Parts: sequence; structure tokens; C-alpha cells
Amino acid sequence: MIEKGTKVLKEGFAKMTKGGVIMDVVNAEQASIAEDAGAVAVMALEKVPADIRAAGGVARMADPTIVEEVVDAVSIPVMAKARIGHIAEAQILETLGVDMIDESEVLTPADEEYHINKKEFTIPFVCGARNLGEALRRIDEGAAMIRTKGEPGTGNIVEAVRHMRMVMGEIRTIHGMEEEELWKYARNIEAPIELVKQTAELGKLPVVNFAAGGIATPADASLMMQLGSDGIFVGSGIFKSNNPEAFAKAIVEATANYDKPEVLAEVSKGLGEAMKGLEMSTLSESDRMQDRGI
Amino acid sequence: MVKIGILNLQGAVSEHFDMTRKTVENLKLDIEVEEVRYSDDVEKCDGLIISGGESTVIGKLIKERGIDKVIKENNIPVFGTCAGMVLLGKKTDFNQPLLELMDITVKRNTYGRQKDSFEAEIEILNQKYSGVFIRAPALESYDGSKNDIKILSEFDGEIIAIQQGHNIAISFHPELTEDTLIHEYFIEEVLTSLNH
Repeated sequence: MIEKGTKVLKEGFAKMTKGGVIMDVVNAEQASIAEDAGAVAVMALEKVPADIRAAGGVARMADPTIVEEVVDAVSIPVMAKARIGHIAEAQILETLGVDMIDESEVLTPADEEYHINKKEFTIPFVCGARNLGEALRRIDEGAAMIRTKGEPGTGNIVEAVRHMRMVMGEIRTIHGMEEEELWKYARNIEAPIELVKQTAELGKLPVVNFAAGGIATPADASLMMQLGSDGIFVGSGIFKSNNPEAFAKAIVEATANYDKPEVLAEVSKGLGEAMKGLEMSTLSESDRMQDRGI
Repeated sequence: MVKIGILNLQGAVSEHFDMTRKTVENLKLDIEVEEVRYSDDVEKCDGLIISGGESTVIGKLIKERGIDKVIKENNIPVFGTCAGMVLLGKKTDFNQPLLELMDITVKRNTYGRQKDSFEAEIEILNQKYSGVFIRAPALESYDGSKNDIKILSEFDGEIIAIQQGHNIAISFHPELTEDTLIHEYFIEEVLTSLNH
């Protein structure tokens, strides 16, 4: 008997991306640059987060033409973003042959109360989280992979660091707690007790955890790996830089050699200008994507 | 002491590490298991496991770090799963760096995309086994003139596990199951290679 869409297959797919870099792309040409540079997967989008931020208005799933173009262009897995709670967008992406769906706060949420029931899909989902409670709620809904939210499209690493430290710190706190303490902790962070217990026992999240949001340089990628990330999502950082080929290669090298400062120094040389970053204090409350879908 | 290295470049490395440790404990053998990332660490291994992941990415890093040379110079037996199977082959359907240790041609994503990934009961080494196939490759062809090639398993008309000398290539993921059968088999192969 053949079984498809099982938890093992969904979480297993995510495990195969560990130690790698997943890059946002908006067309076939960018997808090929990402593949040649050594990306483990690409994220097909209509606009990179920095452009979504600049354009304003409602951000939706990419045009299926773009998704198909990217799927046809590369041999590595293709991911695409659906709006939070937008079941129909997710169904469309699954039909198009996308390998994983990102239910993403980068797009304008379709549902302010509920996320997609990800267990109903054959393909796996990745979701953003700022802390352990959010991460475990998403896993309970069926997410096979977590990424820290950061603040997308800013080229500013500060929020990704804050959230990775938050998740890792919380895991360290519960690792070794007594069961009655875990009950209370689970209530406080509004997470299911079974997943809290599992995380405490493992000493890590029960699924793969990548860093995302604001990674703009090789050093940023190394920093997130050193903080315990399983891999890196780069959004605007590559194709909003002056030299996308060089940046893409350098970020892959930096992720693979994150603990070798001499390699990091070498790959960081002469890259040209990184994307222009945004200072968090310049963002109004309504500009903050990380507060969506919590 | 005999040492099994888990090549830690990209992919499901910790899963293979845990599985290999479990296997060594089951067999009550005094074998060291270590994650290895650079050629000088690989050189000290008596057997090497290459995990699933993206074969394009792992292959590139293997070449850059000179790991392919060290494997060949020292005749280190390699056990490759999924992406590892692709890398062990002489050829695949994309232009990418390969180890070329086995006289096989591997077809990437034989079964299609992630929505086509599947679990199925297969038979290998005369036992039932839970096969986890994730965007899995399978064998396109092998060199029938080589008498050291042995087919270990077929499923639905495709060759999914094959051995040449002490190298083993399989298209699925034993590291995502609880069953140490295939890891045990590889460790025995490594021990045999050392006795020769």
C-alpha cells in the first residue's frame, strides 16, 4: 500500500533542506541564479518582501504563471507563499506542483482568526513564529517546518535575532522542567501540552527551524546559524543587492561555513552594496508584518 | 577504533547520526560515529554516510572541499541515501558534480514532486522494510558487465537499492524510520572491507 502526505513525508521534506539556503525569486532567471549559487530551494513570489512593503496595498499569492515558470526552470524544490488562512490559495499552489507552501505574514492575511488546517493538505507547510508559543501552535495546525519571522523586507537582522533568541531561550527554559511546571508553561504560552512536553524532552523544536526576515549579508547568515538556526531564508537580501549572483553564492558559502570566520571574511570581500536596510523605529505599528497571524 | 563518518554538509545529517549510533549500540560494537565536514576529517573515517538533501548543493561542497579525492584515495566505503544515491552514480540527468564511485546512472525525482512523495512497504535484504520516498531518485541504468554490482531491492519496476563493492546506494530514507537493518548491513560491509 502506498501512502502520501504523511507527517513523516512532510517533516522529512523539511529535514532535507537543513543546512541550506532558500531564496526568494520572482522569475525563471532569478530561480536559475539561485540554483546555480547552491540554494536548496527557491520561493516563487510576485514581488520580494522589500517591494511588497514599498508597494503597499493588499499582497496576495503570486500569479500561477510565475509559479509555473519557476517550477519549470529549476530541479530543486519550489515553495510559494499563500496568505494566512487562505485555504483556496493554498489549494491552487498545491495543484501547481509547489513542493511546500509558506503560509506567510509577508502577504496580507486573509483570516485574522484562523490559520489554514495544514493537516488536510498533501504537501507540507512552513509558518513563521516569533516565540515558542506561536511555533507550537503552528506545528499543532500541521506545519512541518518553522521559520522565525524577523521583519521581512527590511534588510535589518535585529528582529530575526530577537525571535531566534526568544525561541531558543524558551526551549532552554523548559528543557529539564518538571511535568507540573510544563503544564503551567503550556497554559501561559497558549501551546498544546503534548508539543511542549515533546520540545522539552528533545531540547529543540520537533520540526526543522529556519531563520528568516532581514538577512542581507553573509555575516547575517552565519549569525543566525550560530544562534541555532537549521538553515536560512533570504528574501530581498539577494535580488535587492547590487550583485545578486555574488550575494547568492556568498550567502550559501557563509551558511555552509558559518563557524569559519576566515571563510566568512573571504566570501564577504568586494560584494558591492547590500540592500538598503530599514531602521525598525521608522516602521509604524501597521507596517510591522511580524505581528500578523500570531 | 573503527570510525563511521556522517557527512555533514547539508540535509538530514543528525537523523543519520542518531540512527548510526543506535545501530552501533544494537550491534554492541566499539565503533565511533562522528559528523564530518572537511576532507581531513573524512580521511580518518573507515566508512562514510551521505544523507538525503539537495544533491546539487552537497556535490558542490564535496568538490570544493576535496572530499571526493580523499574518499577515492582511501577507498572509503560510502552509503548514500536519496541525494547520496545520486552522488554515488557516474551520471544523472542534470549537469552537476558527482562522486562517480558506482557504475550506475541515477534519475533524479523519478516519482515526481513532493505531492507524489510516498511511504510504502518494500523488501530488502530478505526483510520487509518501511520505505520513505521523498522526491526520490531511482536507478536509470547500471553497467551489467561489472560483476561486483548487486541489486538489493526493486519496487514497482524501479531499482531502489544497489551495491557495488562496499558502496551502497538507496533511493529512500532509512534515517526517517526506526529500523536499523540497512545501517547494520553497511557497518558489516565496512568491517568486511577492513579485513581485506
